[in-house]
Amino acid sequence: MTTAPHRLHEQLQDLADELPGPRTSHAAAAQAAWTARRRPPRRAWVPVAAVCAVAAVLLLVAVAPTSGLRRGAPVSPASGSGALPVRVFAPPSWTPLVTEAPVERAAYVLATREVRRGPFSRGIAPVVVSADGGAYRVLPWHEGDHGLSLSPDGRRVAWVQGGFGGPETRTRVVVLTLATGRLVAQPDDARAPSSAEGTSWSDDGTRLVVWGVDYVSTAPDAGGKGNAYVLDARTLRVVSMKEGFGRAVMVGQQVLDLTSVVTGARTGLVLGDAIAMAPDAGRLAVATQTQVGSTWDSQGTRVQEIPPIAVPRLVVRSTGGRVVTDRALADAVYADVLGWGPRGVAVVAYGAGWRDVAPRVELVDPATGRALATLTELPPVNEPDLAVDIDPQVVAVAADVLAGGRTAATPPPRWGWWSVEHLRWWLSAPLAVALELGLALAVVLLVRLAVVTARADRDARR
Amino acid sequence: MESLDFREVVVARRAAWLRVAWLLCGDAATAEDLVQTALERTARHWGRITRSGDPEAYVRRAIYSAHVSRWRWHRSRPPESGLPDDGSDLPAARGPEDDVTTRLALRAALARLTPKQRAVLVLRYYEDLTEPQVAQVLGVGVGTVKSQVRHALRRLRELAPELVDFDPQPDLTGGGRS
Repeated sequence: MTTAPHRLHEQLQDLADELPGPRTSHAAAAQAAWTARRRPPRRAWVPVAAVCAVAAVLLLVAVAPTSGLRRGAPVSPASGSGALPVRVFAPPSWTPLVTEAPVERAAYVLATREVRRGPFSRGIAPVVVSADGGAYRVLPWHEGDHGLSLSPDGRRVAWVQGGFGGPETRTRVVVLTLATGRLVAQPDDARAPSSAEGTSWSDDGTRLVVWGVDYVSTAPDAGGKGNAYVLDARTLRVVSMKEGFGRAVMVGQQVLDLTSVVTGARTGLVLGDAIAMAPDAGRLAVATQTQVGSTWDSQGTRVQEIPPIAVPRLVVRSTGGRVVTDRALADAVYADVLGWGPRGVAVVAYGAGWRDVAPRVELVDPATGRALATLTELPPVNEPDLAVDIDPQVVAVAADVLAGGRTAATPPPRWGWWSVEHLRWWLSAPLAVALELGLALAVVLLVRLAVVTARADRDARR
Repeated sequence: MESLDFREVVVARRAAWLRVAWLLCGDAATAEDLVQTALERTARHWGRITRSGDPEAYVRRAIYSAHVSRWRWHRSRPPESGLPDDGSDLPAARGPEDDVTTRLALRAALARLTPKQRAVLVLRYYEDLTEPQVAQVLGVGVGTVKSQVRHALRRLRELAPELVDFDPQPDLTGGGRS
């Protein structure tokens, strides 16, 4: 008796026998297969996949540093009151962003001519110098950002994004926490300044004063109205607002209008606009100076290379605007105040000289205008056009670090594209390294496959 | 030398491979394409394959791989001639003696199976492979083979009950028909 599987087997055999004769002979088919054995099948997806893999690698390289994938712990934990570095160096060609490699707190903020500002971009950006070891980190700065200020403890930086004002400009205040790289932006708030110009921290770091021009609530042709806004430093929501203010600082919980104290003050990373509040909150120190500029003849040639700059003066006023002392800063051709500590006013001064200018941060006696000590030396510059060509400039100091009065020798930063530090930082995140190496390997394999395929196709066409 | 060996094997065995391919895809031209694709793949590694001692197994596996790849590449089942699912228009076999009608009904019923179901039926009942051997050729698990066989037989019985009047429960011993 035939079993069922037998029947299916026989039925399939009968069906298979129905196959008509092949179009090509067996010998011809064998010859064709043998001839074609060296030609791999055309794989149109290979070059597409290779291009996609290359794009993925580039995207990863671009995104990974700023996405936090490679962000580690701060290089040096904060200890004590921190210290000011005895020397400041020009930031290297490749310096990490603070969002890539955080630091606990900053002693100084430097302004530089041009640094690496992102994965593929360079430009002017502030650089913070750590108060715990002197590490250098670039702030995530964009074109038009301004109004930077460093919190008293040096752990946060506030600034204004969005360019300088005008009725069409809408700015926003941001606060960056150095230890985490977290950037908090001002939320949408109808009371927020439409065009903020500068920021200043309260002594306890809980409030942020922002001054700017309100173009929203004024008539279109009125030119705006100067206001000062007190923000909660954590949420950046407006706590209170004072109308008719030009420039503001907080004294305790009070907002002080500085318009009458300092006229013509500017904001941003420009020397000459800083104001230092005395620890007793009763006096203000500013550096004033008259800069005439170079002399040019009718053919446009500079005939006097040394700009005729008046000797800078340290002016101390009461918060009411009364001049308390007014002293010339000897041995300086240019100066700006940074802060006011228990022992004196920190002044960044650029020394007299022709091609041997020695910038430095000095502690100056506010009563006499005489230098008490040199806190930090800056790289010497050989350019007479001091106001524009000094690199780097010290533009802010952490008040608590200054008050601590400590200085420490710090090594020059060794970063750079091919530096060991850069390589060590690059390898510090295993996940990022695995992703990048995996993608790179995929790229190599796919590109190789694409090349082999293209070569085989070319050979086959021959 | 290798070329001569290859040609000899192809000339000797291509007709059988074409029949298998024809059962798999149901179309003579496609069957030739499948076999030719498998032969090209085989020729590329002919030296290694002949050293392994069983070139025919390699070719057969290449045919099935090409069949599955082709199905995956098109991402759809081959056309089913627009027949309704109840199989009411399949030619009915009046009895075992009606061979032509039987073959037509079987061919139509096979065309209604999925490529994988056809593959396991052909391997299991035409080539007489055991379930582990089928699993090895198709690169799937034995359990998958068993379930595919079970589903394929059930489907065949639904489509043409008079063709395969046996218990749809598959042989669970794993052994081939002897």
